[in-house]
Amino acid sequence: MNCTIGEERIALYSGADLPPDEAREVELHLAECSGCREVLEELRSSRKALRRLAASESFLSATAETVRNRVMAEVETSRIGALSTRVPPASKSLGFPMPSWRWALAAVAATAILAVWLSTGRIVDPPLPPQQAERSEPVAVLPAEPPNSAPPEASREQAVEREQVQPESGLGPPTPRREVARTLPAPIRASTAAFDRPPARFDPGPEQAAVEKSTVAKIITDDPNVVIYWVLETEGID
Amino acid sequence: MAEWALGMETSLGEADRTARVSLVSRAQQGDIAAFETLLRLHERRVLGTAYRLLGKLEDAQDAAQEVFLRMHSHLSSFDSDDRLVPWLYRVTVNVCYDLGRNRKLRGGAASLDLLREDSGFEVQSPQASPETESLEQERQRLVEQGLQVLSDRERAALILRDLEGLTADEVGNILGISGATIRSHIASARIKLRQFVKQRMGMKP
Repeated sequence: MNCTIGEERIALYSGADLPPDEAREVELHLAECSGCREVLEELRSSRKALRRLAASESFLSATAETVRNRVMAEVETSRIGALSTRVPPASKSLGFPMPSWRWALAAVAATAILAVWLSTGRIVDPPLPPQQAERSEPVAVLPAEPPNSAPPEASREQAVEREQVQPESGLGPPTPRREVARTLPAPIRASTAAFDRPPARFDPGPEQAAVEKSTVAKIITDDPNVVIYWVLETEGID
Repeated sequence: MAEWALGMETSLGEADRTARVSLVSRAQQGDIAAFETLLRLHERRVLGTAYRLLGKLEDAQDAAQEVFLRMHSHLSSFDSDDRLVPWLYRVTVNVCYDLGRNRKLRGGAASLDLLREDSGFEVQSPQASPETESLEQERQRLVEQGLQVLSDRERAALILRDLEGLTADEVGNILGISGATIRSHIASARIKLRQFVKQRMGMKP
C-alpha cells in the first residue's frame, strides 16, 4: 500500500476511532482509491470475525463454572478461617458470663446428686406451691437447714437447692429461691414429695400422675439468670 | 461510553442497574450469594478476555480465578458495578501479563496449534480446510490464531476494543496508555491481523 493516507488511518477508520475531521479526509480518499477500499474491506472482515469469535465461545461456559466453583470454595474457606479466628471462648459464645470451668463443676455436682439419688432413692425437692405444700407432709431427704439459713451468695455456686418441702405456715416469708421455684411450669413443680405420697391423697389424673413421678434437681449458679433443672424420671424406683 | 455499557443501558433498564449496585453492596456486606451472582455476571467477560490474551484455556482458568479472588478482597473499594467492570478488565490484563511472562520463562509460548489442541479445538491449516467450509469460518479461525502473533499490548488493546467493545479511551485508561498511543496500538494490531489472515488465505498481502 503506497497511498499517502496511510494504512494506520484506514485501520482506525474501520473501527470508527478517528476524529470526525480525519474520518472525512479518509472518506474522500477512499472514494478515489480502490486499493484502500480493498484494505478497508479486509480490515472490516477481520473485525467482524473477531466479534463472531466472542459469540462462539460457548465452550467457556463449562470452564466458567469450574472457575466459579473454585473461587467460591476459596472464599468460603477464607471466611471460615476468618470466623474461627474471631470466635470467642466457648463460655462467651454461649452468651453467659459464667466461665466454662463453672459449667464443668455444675455438671459434676449434678452427677453427684444423681449418684446420691440412685443410691438412696431419694432426692432433694424443689418447693411445692403453697396449696400443695399445705397438703403434703415434709419429706426429709438431705439434712435440713433452717429455712432462714440459706447458703450465702458466695456458696451458691454449684449448690443444690436444699430447701425442704414444708408447710408455709410458721416458716416466715419465702426466700427468693422459693420464688424462683414458683415460676417453674407445672411439670417441674412435681417432686418426690408427690412421688412418695400415696396417690389417693392427691387423686391425680393419669397425666398428673405421670408428671408427679418425675423428680427435679435444681442447681443454682452464681449467675441469677442461670439455673439448671435436672428432671429425673422416678418410675420403677421405690 | 463503551458499547457494552450502552447495551446495558438499553437492555437492562434502571431496575437492573439498581439491582447490580445492590449486588455489589450486598457482596461488600458479606452476602456470599450476592458475590456468587457477581461472579456469574462477569465470569464470561473475564474468562473470555483471559483466554484471548493467553491463548490457552488452562492458563485463562487460572487467571480468571486469580482475578475473582482479587475482586473479593477488593470489594469494599467498589461503589457500583460501573467501577467494577473497568477494574476487572484492568486486573485481568495485568494477571494475564504476569502469567504470560511466567509461561515464557518456563519454556516459551506454546505454538498456536498446541494451544488449539489444548482448548479442545481441532486445528486445521488453511490448506487442510474442507472445501465446504465457508470463507467466514476460515477467517474466524485465522483471526483467532492471528491474535497470538501480536505483542501483548497490541493484543490487549485489540481484544478490549474490538472484542469487548470498549472505547479507545477506556482501553487506554485500563492499560494505562495515553489516547494517541493506544490508537496506535489498536491500528497496528488490526493491520497485523489483516496481514496474517490474508497471507494464510492464499492471497497477496
